[in-house]
Amino acid sequence: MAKKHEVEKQEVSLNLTSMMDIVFQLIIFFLLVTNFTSAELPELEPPDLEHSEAIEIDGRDKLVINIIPDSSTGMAKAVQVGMQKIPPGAYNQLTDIVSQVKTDRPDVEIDLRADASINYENVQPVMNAITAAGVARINLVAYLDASNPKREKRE
Amino acid sequence: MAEKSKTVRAKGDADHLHDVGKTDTIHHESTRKAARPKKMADLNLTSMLDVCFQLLIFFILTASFAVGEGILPAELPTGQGKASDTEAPEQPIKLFLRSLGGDDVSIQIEGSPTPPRDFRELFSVLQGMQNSPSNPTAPYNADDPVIIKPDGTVKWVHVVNTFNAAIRAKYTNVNFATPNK
Repeated sequence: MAKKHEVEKQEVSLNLTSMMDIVFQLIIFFLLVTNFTSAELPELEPPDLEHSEAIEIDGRDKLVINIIPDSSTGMAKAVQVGMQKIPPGAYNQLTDIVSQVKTDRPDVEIDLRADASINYENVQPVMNAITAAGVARINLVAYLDASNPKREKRE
Repeated sequence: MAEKSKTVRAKGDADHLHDVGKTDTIHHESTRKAARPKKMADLNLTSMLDVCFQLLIFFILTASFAVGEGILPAELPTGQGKASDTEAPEQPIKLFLRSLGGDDVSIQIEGSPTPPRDFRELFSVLQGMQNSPSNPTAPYNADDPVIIKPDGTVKWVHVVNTFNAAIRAKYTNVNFATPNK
């Protein structure tokens, strides 16, 4: 009877400390490497270029304007500014949002992240809307060069 | 006897074995003393570990979402912004893009009789047109404007590819035009 009791006690005192240490290490690691802007990047396929000159700059203040494709017809399904989705025709609204952001964050850079299959006629009004907000420079989002070690193309 | 051996194990020192054998009171006291540190070690970490694993899985899944994407700094097409302030350039290089249906595109350089077949060729033609120490007879300078004029139905990937070819050929003033309808 006494022996049984003893065995039970030993089972409960499993030492989790080192496991906890490792788990915390991993959590902190992933906390630091995670991009919290991922919600601003809906799933789309940016242009894949020949000998891409695209560069990566970390830690800049950016507003991503996404043009989400409608299957592969070349039409835009929606335009997403930051976290906000607007219908493809509402360019005045886009101008308002961009100029508002530009006033709040003067150093903000505008990234234009359009799907590779979008027709230029659907990208051009978006560019005009950004210009109308008083922005002269934008960044075009494209894949890095295939030889770039940082490139790990999504499947 | 069973109780005695339990005490010995809990405490684990030979001195105590003697005391236990003498009186019952000491025996009981020593049991309690031995039990106390054991209870302290019994902190239940299970639920904390659950939460930690949840967080870990969340961060693993959300990490590295847009790996491999980069940016190409560009000027915007005609507007009231700074981009249009350049005074009338003498000789812009105009690149026309026409959709040939589907994913195909034709590239044409204004004034050039042979259109480049792909963007690699466009790059070498643009590079050959640029004045440099190794190529002093070329008609264009690196800061001469390059204007990209795509048709409305040209895919965005071709527009960016053209832009990329121009900046790869070290042109510094690459612009977009409005689509010709």
